[in-house]
Amino acid sequence: MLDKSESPRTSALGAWEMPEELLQLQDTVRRFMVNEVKPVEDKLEHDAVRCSDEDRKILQAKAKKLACG
Amino acid sequence: MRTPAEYGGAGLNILGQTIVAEEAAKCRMGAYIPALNAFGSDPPNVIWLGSKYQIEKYGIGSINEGKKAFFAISEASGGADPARSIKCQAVLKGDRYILNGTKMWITGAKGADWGIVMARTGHGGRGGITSFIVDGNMKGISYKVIPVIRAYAPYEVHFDNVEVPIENRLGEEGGGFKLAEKWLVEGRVPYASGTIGIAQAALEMAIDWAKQREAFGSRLSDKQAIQWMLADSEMELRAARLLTYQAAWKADLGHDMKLDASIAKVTATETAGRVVDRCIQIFGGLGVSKELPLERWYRELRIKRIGEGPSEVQRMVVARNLLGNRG
Repeated sequence: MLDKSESPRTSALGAWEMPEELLQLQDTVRRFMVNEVKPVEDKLEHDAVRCSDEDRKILQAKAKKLACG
Repeated sequence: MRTPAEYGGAGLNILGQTIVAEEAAKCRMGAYIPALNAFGSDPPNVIWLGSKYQIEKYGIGSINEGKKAFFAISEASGGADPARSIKCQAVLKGDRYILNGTKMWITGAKGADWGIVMARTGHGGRGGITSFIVDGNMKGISYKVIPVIRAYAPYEVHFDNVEVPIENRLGEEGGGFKLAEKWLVEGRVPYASGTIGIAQAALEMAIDWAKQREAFGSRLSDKQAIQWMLADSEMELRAARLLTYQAAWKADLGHDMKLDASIAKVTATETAGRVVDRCIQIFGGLGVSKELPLERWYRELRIKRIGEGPSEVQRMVVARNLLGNRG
């Protein structure tokens, strides 16, 4: 879990930088979208507003393992 | 994601939510159903300010059982200025409030297990508004879909002598406006970030297309008109993203971030609209076809300049701050 102490900080050079933990989170979600979400969404119609309950439950279970759900 | 860890949520800070929101929006239905709801949906944040009974029944119930909730502020009389436009009435009779009126543009209302409704219990203005928790199936509540530009339609919610137990009043009488503001202001940062995610995805698609598509003897990417569209989009997206991060950072430090949230919201939503518009232009006819997500993003991003406080209200917040009236 991230708390306030892990907000962005200023480096010795004065440049703004993102905490490593948040960069990892970003990368994890990015890969999840490509590897897990896109294949499910590709089966749906253009204006779909949901996937099947079965697919959603599978996605949510996988997201939970990433500690994002 | 936004729900505190003590109640079973991921407990991400606002910056973490902002980063996830950007990535989760990068799918065809990402404007309103990020990541196909893989990360679940959080109950409205103000439920965690409720009584022990309210937190357990509605808040934790939503986390553990996947119950859905709606949040109802807007009415036909207006949405951007709730302090003056809320007409929905709640009158205390014995141990319950009698709720009458109609809410408009309520996302996810029909089928929701419960919702938070702002109603007038007193005089006009902010101090006369109170929050109530209603169960979605309470007698006297009816729903009517409002077809709009996006696929995921909102609802009109009608309350006809709905009896709300007094223990379902959220906060004190007259405290509703502050709760609505908390929900709106804290939600604006991830809201802004989602639009940046969509625009970033559109830009990446447009870059790939420009590098392969040929016209008049050269690739689109070799033409200055296209290069400038891509460059402008990149510059504007970077600026919007940093403003959004700044608002999130201030929120996480516990600073007042109302101004920063407004700046982030208006900048991100307007930038995203421009970027997706340019990307459609680069794709030409294919850009407006339903083969690609761009067409849907273009329509759905349009709402983002209205929802959760329109651009004009955000600019009003900024101007009031500049002019010394912070109300």
